[in-house]
Amino acid sequence: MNERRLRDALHRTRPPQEAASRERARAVALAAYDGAVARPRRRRLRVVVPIASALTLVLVAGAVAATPPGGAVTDWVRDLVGRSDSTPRPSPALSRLPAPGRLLVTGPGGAWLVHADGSRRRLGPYAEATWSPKGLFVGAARGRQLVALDPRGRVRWALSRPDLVHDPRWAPSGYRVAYRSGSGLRVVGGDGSADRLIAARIRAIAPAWRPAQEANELAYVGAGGHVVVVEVDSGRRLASFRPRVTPKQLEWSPAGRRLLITGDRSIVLADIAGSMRTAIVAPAGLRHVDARFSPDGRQIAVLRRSRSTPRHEVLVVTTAGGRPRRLFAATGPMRSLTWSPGGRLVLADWAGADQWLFLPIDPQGRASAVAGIAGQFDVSRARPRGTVDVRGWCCP
Amino acid sequence: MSQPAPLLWKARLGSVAVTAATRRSDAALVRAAQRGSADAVEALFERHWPALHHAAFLVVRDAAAAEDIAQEAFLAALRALHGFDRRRPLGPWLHRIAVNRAIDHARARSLRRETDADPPADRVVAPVAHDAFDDEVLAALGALDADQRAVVVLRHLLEYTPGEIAELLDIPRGTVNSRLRRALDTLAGELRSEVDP
Repeated sequence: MNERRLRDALHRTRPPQEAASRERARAVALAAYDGAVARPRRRRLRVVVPIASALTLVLVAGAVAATPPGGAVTDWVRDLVGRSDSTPRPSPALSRLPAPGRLLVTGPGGAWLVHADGSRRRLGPYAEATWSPKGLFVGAARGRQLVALDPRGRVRWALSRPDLVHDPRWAPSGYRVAYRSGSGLRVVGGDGSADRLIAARIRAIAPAWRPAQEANELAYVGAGGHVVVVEVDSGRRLASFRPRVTPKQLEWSPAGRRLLITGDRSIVLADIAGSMRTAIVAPAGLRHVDARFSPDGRQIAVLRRSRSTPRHEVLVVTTAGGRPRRLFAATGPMRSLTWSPGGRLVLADWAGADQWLFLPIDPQGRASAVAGIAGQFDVSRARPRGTVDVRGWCCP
Repeated sequence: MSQPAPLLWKARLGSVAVTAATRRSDAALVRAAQRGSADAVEALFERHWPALHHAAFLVVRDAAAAEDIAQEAFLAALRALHGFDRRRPLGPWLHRIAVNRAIDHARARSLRRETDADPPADRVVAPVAHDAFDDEVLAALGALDADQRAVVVLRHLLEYTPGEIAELLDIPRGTVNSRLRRALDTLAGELRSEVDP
């Protein structure tokens, strides 16, 4: 073999389903460009016809949307025009948060706190982070190290492990921090002492502390796909059951009564006895990306993506059941949802547009958006790299 | 978003070094896009997407991730379009964004792999090769780390020189050469034959 053969082989080894990928990417690029670039004046006359056509489509869609099949037609029209639900005009910088509290954020520039007035403090070069329950400390991970920081970024304690540390989660009691290291699940005291192994092999899914309990109870997904709930101080196993879905995310309700188990197609609510009911099922062709309980536990915000197009949508559904209500839909990747502490807003991380969307739960409320997120958390580079993750909105 | 130096770079489309006429055409399309032409954006997309997507795929070896990475690279370029210096070639700038993101992704995935007991089917590498030798090459690429795959792809798919690769990846030229050497040695070992340097 020589360089020419290597070059030929590289050229022949094409990505699978290349044409479909290209069409999806083209739609996203044009939609993003359409939203980002102001059209010059001389083009206005030429867009009269498309605008008239779009108005006609909207009127027709409005007429039929009142009927059940009309909903599907409305979706179709929205798909045709790309970004569908009223997309707020983004402000160029995060000048303030639209609700009280502080955001914990990680990105290529490390971990940051964002205060209500929009000011940001870099905590350090950490890849993952978690709030302590009252927001007095931050647990953060970088490489093989777990640290506890105060909100000024000063390290209070640090713990090194032979394996990489992921998914730190501070217990609601404040006295324990759970984290993944290697293939195992470990727990350390809130003061950095008494680090110990809880489970030797688990799936790469963040563990979830059960709130509102006197004991420190932790749910995780075992290597075999079972959901396990364990009382970490005694080691007593409180529950172990196989959910109806392949779990990709766990979250307890704020009262600790129900465990939200998110799967690709279905989202399931389970109790500690292992009885389950399906909260929401994605229609064919859609997959769940994220699901989060509201602070009062009465609603769940759900993020879905289409398998075949770049379309994403944000919904809310009540835990009592009923039809989901769509808050927003857009073209381009969206990564996560975060409730504001008061439960009035959902922050949607629209990575495809490099924006944060603040979506009001109140149907009469106005959404707002902030653009250029990556650059605001990677200030050391002219060209920001990577994505920004919202780790929590805490403690007004 | 920093751009490559204007004189050093030869603009490329995939593996083909393009002519000055094409470069000017790129500049004209960028100018039109800056003035609001969606047609120009679509033409730029048609021109640059295949190489972006292909390079990202060979670095991350994951079809879905490659699509996301190439798409994000193109969107990042669109966001910075107003400030783009049209005297500079667009291709290397896009390749720099895509390959760096692909390296970041591959590194992050290699760190997570230790606990990925049951990766979902659509994230598994899906090689599409035309003969057994291509399968072997793709499998052999898996024996390289992300940094080595990136320099192999930049050198042998996109045909940048080691000096250009050093600028693209923001690393010393000697590092590029040593990564290439080690990568080719590894590939030769994997393929049980000799790869000429």
